[in-house]
Amino acid sequence: MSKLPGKRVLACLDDSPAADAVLATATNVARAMGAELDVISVVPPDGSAVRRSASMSPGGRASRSPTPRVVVGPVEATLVDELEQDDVVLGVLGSRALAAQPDLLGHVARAVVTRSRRSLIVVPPGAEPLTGEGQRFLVPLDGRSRTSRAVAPVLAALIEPMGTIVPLHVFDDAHVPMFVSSPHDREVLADEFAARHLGPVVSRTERPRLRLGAPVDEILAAIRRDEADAVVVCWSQHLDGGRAAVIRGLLADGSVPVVLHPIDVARAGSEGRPGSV
Amino acid sequence: MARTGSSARQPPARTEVATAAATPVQSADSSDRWVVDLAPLDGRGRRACESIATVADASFGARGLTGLDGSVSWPALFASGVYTGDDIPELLAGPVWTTVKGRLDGPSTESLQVDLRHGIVRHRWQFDGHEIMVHRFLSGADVGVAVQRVDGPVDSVATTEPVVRPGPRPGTSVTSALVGTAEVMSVRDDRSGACIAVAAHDEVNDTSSSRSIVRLVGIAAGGGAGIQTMAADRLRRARSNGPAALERRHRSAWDRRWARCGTWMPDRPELERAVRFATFHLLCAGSTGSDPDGTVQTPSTETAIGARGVTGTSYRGHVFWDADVFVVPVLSAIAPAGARRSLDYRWARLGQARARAHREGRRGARFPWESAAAGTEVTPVSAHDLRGNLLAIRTGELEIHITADIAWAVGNHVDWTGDDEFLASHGLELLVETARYWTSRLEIDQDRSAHLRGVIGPDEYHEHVDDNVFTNVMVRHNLDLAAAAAVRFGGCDPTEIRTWQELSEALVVEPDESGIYEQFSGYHALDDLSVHDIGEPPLSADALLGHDVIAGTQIIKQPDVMMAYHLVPHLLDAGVFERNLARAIERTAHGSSLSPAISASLLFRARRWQEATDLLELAAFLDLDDVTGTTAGGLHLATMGGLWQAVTFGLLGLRATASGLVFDPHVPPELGPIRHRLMYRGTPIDVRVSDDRARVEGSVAVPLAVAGETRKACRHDVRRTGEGWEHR
Repeated sequence: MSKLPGKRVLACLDDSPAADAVLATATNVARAMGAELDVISVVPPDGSAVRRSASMSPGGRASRSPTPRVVVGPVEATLVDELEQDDVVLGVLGSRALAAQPDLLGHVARAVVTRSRRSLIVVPPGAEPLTGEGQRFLVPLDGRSRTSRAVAPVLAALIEPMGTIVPLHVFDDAHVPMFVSSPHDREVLADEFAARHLGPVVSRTERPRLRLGAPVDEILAAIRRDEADAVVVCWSQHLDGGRAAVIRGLLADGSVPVVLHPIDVARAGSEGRPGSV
Repeated sequence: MARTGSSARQPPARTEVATAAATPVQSADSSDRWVVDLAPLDGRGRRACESIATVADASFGARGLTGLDGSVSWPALFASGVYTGDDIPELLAGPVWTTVKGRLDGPSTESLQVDLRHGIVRHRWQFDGHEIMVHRFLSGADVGVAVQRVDGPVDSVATTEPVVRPGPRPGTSVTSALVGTAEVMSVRDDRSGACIAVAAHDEVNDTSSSRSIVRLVGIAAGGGAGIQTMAADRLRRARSNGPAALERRHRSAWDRRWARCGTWMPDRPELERAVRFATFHLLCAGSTGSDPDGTVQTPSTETAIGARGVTGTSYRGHVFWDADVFVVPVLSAIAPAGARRSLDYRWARLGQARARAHREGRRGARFPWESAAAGTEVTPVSAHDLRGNLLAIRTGELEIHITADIAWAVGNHVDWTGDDEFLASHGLELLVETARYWTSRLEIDQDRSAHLRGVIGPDEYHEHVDDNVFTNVMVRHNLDLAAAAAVRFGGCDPTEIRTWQELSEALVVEPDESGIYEQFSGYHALDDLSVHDIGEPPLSADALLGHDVIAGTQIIKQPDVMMAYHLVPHLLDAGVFERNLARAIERTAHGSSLSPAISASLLFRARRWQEATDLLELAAFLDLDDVTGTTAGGLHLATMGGLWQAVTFGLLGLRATASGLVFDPHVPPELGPIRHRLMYRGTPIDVRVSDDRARVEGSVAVPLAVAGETRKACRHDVRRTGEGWEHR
């Protein structure tokens, strides 16, 4: 039975190297969520070639894949508009990886992730697609209750059906809690973090990982250490500046898909302490 | 959490007490100082309140709030010493009997009060001209009996049957059975066989507009058969008594408890209440309805006092030195039967302690650093630090001072209680077996000096060290106690006793030529950082610098040499106390919640008033203000014990010895007059201290030493002489 009848997961395909993984991820996620899969390819009005068909050919998969819905229009604006449709619950798109600019999303992806208010899964080239079940999602949380409240619906609707949540909180040097020398202290602190920030979705949540250090480094280390299949991040949709370093780092790392959930930074940022993720 | 009323720590205007010794503390019993008033408005505060509002005794603890408004709640029922059968056991969670179903029509205000005088929790919601009130206690008079009354609009409240939250965990079985006329729900751990059973009965009285639901509860726990029957029997007896009589008996029990102890600080009402809150929960941890009034012993059971008691799951309910060094000494002076039960918990596990020593090729008995039901070592062996590194946890292997700490608790208990029956039996066995362990553990060098190598002291930043001062001093004390008790009661070979005496003398515990005790061999050669080079304590220096880096510095987690000064000052050079304190405090990160109160106690002795008061207040409000963010996991009982000790041993300088009390107050003027009550050998002792006068008074004559002069009297008046005191 569909869990989200009448809702769509929108796979945004182009000739990105990640296109196959984008399509596979979108297909699997849509199935896990009980949503419909909608595949779209946007053709710019200047008549640029539609290369998507070529990218779908290898392996004979194209014959089994849904035919992309081709829409003509300005690519970024059209994708954002499509994502804003009421029945779209999630978008999936690829990012480019260029040797000269490894942290560059690609101008289309950059525009979409910074403008769309929809949750998006960005699949880097080379990343394994999400299978939609039994996977491990690393969820870095900054300890602000509004951030936690913002991400909770995504975790409940999207992540819980597909696997296990592995929360992560990274302290900075200025905010290391008192009395954490004992492993018991760290356990209770982690349990408290889960209770306070993941209360509604703790059923498939592992004990949070508490770390101290540079957020990007700790998140990337946690991806490897905890064998995460994806990372779920709340963000303010600003790719520039220091606070987006985590997003840039994750996208540049490119080892796993990144679920980006936009939040209103003006509201979320007004609470809690800065500097830790 | 929001606590109603002022949370300011600034001392109000001082109460002028010109002749304090003769002046009663007039405002001391004002009722608001006996009530912890909480407004659990936000999620964080609510979770801490769930521990703060635990109703408990030495056997059971029921924590949690009533979540009428759908807020996240973490109620639980625990039983002392009842654990799961996991490899690393944890407290078994029993059926929750406190759940209330209610409906709030419209916006509401919520308040929570813990009545410290009578051990009653009141939880109230007011909405649209209506009120729902939950009134709850775990009987202080009838073991395993609890009462909950819910009053509210007839269409707004209902109770539920006991439930298991958040649901039965793997490895446990939940059953419900009819025992006689009582429905009994029980949770049994399939591996350990441990069981907690709850029988409940609701009496509902409706009027046209209001409803009153009185729930009577019988609770039992243990490892054998018949637990359900015991719970049903307790419920049956509770029903035959009725709620009004149960509450009268409960209130009387708490009146009797408070007749034996208390602290009044009229100029510092917030601090007074915080000390009382700590004393209250220490009394809960150490008292049951079966205790004899006022005096000592003859408890029929044992009590495993975990690091958070039965108020939460943190530390998995394991028993550490927290019990023997921080909680038991308090109970010895305010609830001696509870102290005896805790010592009997250790005595009952001598078999495991002997077996461990034997396995390690030693004699005697070695106790585990972390202990649960069986008395085996249950310390985890590894954990990730905040850097993500997997660290070996070596405390279970190397923190052997726990064995001497238990011996210290035995001696201290006997000093306070005069319980020779205990000393001659269980106490003697504990002292002898632990001393035997040390004789086989000590290494004797060619110069005949005795050493303990490869240990961890209280300062756990430095592992596998040699001749840790704290450990050596505590072992010396252990050997001395064993020798004295063996000489007194017999039963040991004189040669063995002589060996203990010789080893005690041979143990290396000497200050260097500058009068400084080197915390362990080689400590002074480490990088001599001040803790202030890293930040302002309290801080987690090991997390900040990393485990290996901190081990290369002289920064310490908590008092180590100074902890020895706190526990056994007579074994260290009093003349170099202050310089050792100054050196240690400069390097102490207070990385343990045990550290602030003990440091405060020592700093009071050195008249470093401001530092002492700051640390005392940190300890006092650690849970009330959820300073650590972990109070939801249970209350820091050892911090509470340390707080009481800071008042008793530090501020008042009151200690018990084999020959009487010693009194040497060090009270900063800013704290104003202090009145303190405790038990010495079955007699309530009242201590009052103000600027220049003090009084120690009991109903029978007690010996009191002041500045080396001992007098025996019911009432001792003492006056200040410069920085010291003398008998008047």
